[in-house]
Amino acid sequence: MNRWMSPYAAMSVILAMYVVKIAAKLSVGYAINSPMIVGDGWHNVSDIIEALLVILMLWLSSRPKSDHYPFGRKNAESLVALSTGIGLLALAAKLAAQSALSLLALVPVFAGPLGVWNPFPREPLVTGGVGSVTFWLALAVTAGCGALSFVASRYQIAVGRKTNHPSLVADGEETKSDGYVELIAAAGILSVHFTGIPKLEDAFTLFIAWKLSSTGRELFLGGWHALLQHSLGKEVEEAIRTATMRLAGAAKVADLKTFKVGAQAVVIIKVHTRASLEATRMMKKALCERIATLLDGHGFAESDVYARFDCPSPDEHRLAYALGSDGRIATAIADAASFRICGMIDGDVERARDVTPAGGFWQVIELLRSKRVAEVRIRGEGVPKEKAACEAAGLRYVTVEHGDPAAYGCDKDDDLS
Amino acid sequence: MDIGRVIAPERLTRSGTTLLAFAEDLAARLQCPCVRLLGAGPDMLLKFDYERGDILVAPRPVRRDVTMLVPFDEAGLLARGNAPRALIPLSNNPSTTRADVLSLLAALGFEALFWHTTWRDAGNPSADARDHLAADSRATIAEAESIARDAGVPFRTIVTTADSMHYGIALAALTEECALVAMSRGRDAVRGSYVKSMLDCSAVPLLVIGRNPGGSS
Repeated sequence: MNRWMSPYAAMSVILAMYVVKIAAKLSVGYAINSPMIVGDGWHNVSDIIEALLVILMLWLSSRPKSDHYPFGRKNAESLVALSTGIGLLALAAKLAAQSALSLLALVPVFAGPLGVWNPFPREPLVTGGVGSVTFWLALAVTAGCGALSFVASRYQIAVGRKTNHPSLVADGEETKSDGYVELIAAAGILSVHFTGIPKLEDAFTLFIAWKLSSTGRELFLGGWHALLQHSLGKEVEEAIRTATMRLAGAAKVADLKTFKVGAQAVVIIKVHTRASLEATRMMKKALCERIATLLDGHGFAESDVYARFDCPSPDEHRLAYALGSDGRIATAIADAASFRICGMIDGDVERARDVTPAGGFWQVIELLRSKRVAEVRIRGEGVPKEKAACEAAGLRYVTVEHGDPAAYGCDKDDDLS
Repeated sequence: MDIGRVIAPERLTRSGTTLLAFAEDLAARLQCPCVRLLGAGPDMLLKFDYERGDILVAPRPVRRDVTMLVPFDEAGLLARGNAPRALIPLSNNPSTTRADVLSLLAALGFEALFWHTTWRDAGNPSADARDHLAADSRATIAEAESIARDAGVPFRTIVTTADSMHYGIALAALTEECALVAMSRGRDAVRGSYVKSMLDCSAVPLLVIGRNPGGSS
């Protein structure tokens, strides 16, 4: 990997950028008596502390998985995204309030009260007169720092996306927001100098506030969803289900859980199958590969897939075929010489044994119930009275078409001795 | 290979119903009759009077001379929306067997995916498995591709260095989303059978070409 594409290299560049900006803003700001520029310079000192915290989070998230942290520590980066999102939303709110109040002051009825008390006052650009040199110095430092911020943020965001570090992307957005603030200052300087209309800056600021709020919301929600283990979304989960059911041997997706740890997607899936144990080993490998490829297509370059396979619910129950003396399925319970009681598992006959009840119809019903038989099967149209009696006794009464028990998988197994 | 009939036992259980649906789907695709043997067990399937070109769809192989298709738990060849593709592991079996497989694929409108695994040549540093092929393996692959071309079957060839033959076949069939694995029985084997191994570890339907379809077992 190109060493300039490493996250630590990117943060080193950002730290160097802040040092340059602080030096430029403080030196020019104090030289031209600009409280706004000096204030912004001191704000950049806190940005250095923030950058150092990002570096700490990068190191923490790169720590390997362990017994205490089975999914690793990548979620530390989600904290950065969450807090940066909150910061951007707060900044957007402040800028919007400042501009709105400034524009409101144009209305005579509000001008007086706002002149007395303004909760969001704007720092004056310069105290004292604005000469030509002052203008060009102020413009150079604000526009220059703004351009530097935009270039650095693009580089930082690109490295963050390439190396899958959401904290780097979040901090890149924060660097970009600094650029917007510096751009607003430059726009204000230009509008006052060339148009004499200071309020143009306010309109521009409102637009910037809207952009910052949407970025802040996106970062906040991304961090929030990762920390609270929000699912990867319906579209991704539906794609996973579809890909799983395309796998030969898959009977059903019994359970699916998806969430993120940092930028890494985690999928926990349980699949029902009737395949053999050896076949499920191959199915598991193929499924994990398939899901990882699918997640990559949905923007998750890193993923962990935990797939397990299990048998479908066995649906164990017993049913009985009434057999005539010829061994074929009888047309009535009353005509049955014996009953073949079949233990069913998952719709197939697992075992069967014949019982020959003594006594009349009700003794037969009692015998079948004692054997936990849930259903009795008769060939043909059945006997309505028998059906009513069986159902009253809690037995399902089912008619079948064929007389040969082999048709229903309950023929005699010649291998049994 | 002349297509005869598709033969299947008809047993009205869950697995029996699935198997019958597969057989009827296969017969529809081959445009041949589907013979349903009501209540047929292993004994009846063993003694049935098969004709040349018949394909028996059953849960386990019954006769070596009859072409068999074991669908496992699949309800149809393309029921999962898979690609119409069959994986054909290449071995030293005679080309007549391969020609039978490919003519069947042509009738189904399937693509062939030839699969071959080779040992790594210790002195060869190449990461490409094809560079480790022995001369007779290269000839086998070339012959298979030639037969596919003659049969008008589109094909692709994968050469790999799998740790295990049957696991490699089973995994490749799943990862390539094949609808079918087509094999024939080995002639020289004294003990052990790849067909039996595949029956134990495959989830993809398995077609086993009979040794002498329609002849004595």
